[in-house]
Amino acid sequence: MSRARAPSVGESLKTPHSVSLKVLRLSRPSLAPQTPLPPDSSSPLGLHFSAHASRADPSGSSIRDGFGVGLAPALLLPESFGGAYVGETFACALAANNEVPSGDPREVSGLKVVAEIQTPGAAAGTWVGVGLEGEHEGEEGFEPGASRQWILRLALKEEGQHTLGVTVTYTETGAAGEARTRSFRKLYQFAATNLVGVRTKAGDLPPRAGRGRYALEAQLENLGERGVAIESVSVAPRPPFTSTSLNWDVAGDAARAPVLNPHDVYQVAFILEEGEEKKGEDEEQTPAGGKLVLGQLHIQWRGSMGDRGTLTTGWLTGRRR
Amino acid sequence: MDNVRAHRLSAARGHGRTHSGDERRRVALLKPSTKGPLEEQEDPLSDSMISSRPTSPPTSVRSSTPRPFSPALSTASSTIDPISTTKDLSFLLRPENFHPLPTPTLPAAFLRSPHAPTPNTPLATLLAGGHFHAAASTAVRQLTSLPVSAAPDTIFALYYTRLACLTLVNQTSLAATEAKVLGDLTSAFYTHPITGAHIVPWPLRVLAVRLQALGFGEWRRGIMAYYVLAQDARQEITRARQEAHPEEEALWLSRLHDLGIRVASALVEMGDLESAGRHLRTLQTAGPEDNTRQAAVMEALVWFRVGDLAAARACAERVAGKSEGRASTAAPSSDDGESTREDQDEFSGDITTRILWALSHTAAGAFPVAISAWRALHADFPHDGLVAQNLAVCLLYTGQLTEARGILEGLIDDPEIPAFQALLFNLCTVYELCTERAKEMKGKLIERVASKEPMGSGWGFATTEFKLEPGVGVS
Repeated sequence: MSRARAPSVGESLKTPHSVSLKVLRLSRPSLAPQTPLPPDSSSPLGLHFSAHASRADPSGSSIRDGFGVGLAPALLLPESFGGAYVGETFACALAANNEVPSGDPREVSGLKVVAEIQTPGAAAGTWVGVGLEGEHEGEEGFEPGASRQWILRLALKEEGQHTLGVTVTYTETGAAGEARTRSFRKLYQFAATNLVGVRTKAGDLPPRAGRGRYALEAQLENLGERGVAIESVSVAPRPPFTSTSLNWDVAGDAARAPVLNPHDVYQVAFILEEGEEKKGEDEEQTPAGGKLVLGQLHIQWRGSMGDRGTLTTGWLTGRRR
Repeated sequence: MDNVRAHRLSAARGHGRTHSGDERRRVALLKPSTKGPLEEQEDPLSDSMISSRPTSPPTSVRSSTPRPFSPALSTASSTIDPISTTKDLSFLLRPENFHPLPTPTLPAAFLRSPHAPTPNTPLATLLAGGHFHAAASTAVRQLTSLPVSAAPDTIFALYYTRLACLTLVNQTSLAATEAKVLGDLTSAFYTHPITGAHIVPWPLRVLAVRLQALGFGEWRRGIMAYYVLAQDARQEITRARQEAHPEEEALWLSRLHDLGIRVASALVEMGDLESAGRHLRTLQTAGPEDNTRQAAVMEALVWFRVGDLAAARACAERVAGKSEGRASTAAPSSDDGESTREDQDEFSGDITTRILWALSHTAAGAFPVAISAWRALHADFPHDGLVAQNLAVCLLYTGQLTEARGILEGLIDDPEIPAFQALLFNLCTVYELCTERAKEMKGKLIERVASKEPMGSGWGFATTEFKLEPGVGVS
């Protein structure tokens, strides 16, 4: 279970910092649960409950318009860090806050926040800068009690331990007008794990009209701790191949894409057929060992409340007949 | 995680079955329904009636002996409800059935607020003011001081009030434990020996299904229990139709629809979202427009929760079609952060449809589009707490923390809008993000909420609603 840890580094200065840094993981907001009382709750003793009681949103519209029991359309900010999964985008809110108490003459200016990431594949000690969304450069009036917020988005591509480093730099001006630049850095660690596991198998089919045909099968397994709503599974064929889906999506709009709960396995299959293209070019691309490059499998999904993930396999090969 | 939970639930069931033999019928939550529409009412003197005697908590020694329900044993006067001459409901009045609320439940600010109720405030007034903590305690005081000969209607009304208040103050597990005392509400014990009518009021029967399912760890049986109630509702519909009572027929039809929605709700609580979605679809095939629309709205929410946005949007279009009498052609926002065209229809439909479209953009991750949808709704419904707080949540996803905080704080100060749990949770999270002194800010928030005028939706929020324990969300 991954969780953000926040060891402070470089906090050697004796006086406490005038600026604090807070981080909230931003997976999608969730829907508030609600379990309303039975509708006609008044009793012979005149014990009457308001129709608004037990509604996640008691102020009106959702009752007028018949939002039912179970879930309410009220959005909740993420409650916990949750799992971080390969193929999904890791987003978090960074807030730098002016913590100078009222009446304290200290002033804060020139606030700067820089984020870096250390990924599992990179050599030890290698930090890569991460861009932040939010324009606060040159913004005036960072008063005591004020906050500035940035959004960090990071596509998770590797399994393993990630470390996010955030450096906050600012200028602190004291009562006598003396200015000093202060800085601190916070580290947040989390592990990215695989959510969708893919196993593939290519088998050859009898050729049709002299053209090679292959069946590409894949098993998708939910390796995570939450549900996965598959949006699309497709093959990007390598010429001269063309791909035909044999899955739920051929049924048209009426078909519902599969939902994989934790530990569920779902099987998909495609037919890959050689097209009109000249075989000569293809021959050159064929790797050694008599294997043919068929294409890549591309999977797109969403998690609870719409968090999106994508995964593309390496080149899948078939055996030449 | 679901597996772990299911395992624990079945362990709980096993425990429930270890009661002594003669108590089984009462303590077992629900016997499998063998009562079909063609079956006769059970004989009042049958084995099940005789064994339906007062239960006691499994740990205590029962001193009372089985008591046959014969008028000879009753010394009641003629003013007492005839049912009470045959039904001994005294087991519901025992003080040991009830558990004290964990202390301290309410922050001190609520206790010393001028709006705080006094110990003598009547129960009905407590409910009207949303003082559910106090009402839960008052209901028990009144229940346990009732005479044994009290009218069943009084007993059940107070019992319902107690259980309902516990669920409203998030003490559902306590309510689940106390609901077990009612035993099997489908047993013949709870039917009138002469008329065959059920003596327990409908709302308590409905409320008890969920609580007993939680208490016994038996969600599947809970769903069965809803179907047993549905069977009763169908019989009442048929009877009302035959006797030409259109108002009663309408009442039972609405109760039947409510049960259908509650089955979906139970499936959601079980974590079986896909079944909930499929079940809700079946509720849209027939029935009054309002009912099918409500089922479609809830189905949309279920698919949002699953993450199947295509299915959710299809539901939203059905809802739009039902409200406008035409199919909406609102554009789904395509990719995360990328907005496509904004269809004007989304800003002109009824509020439910517009909320669903705004949720759709939110789930798609198209926060700029979502924000303009919530803003437009907020402009049209400025005192709608849900719309405003959803706007604030989305603002946080685009880095507009200061505005988000201002909107949430404005809702606390708006006298027309009662405080509600989602609002408190989101504002407390925002405080954790805004400052190192979040605890201080939450303390001030509690003072502000405690100074709000009481409303029937609830007044007084437990300490846990203000996230006073160290948070795991913000670091």
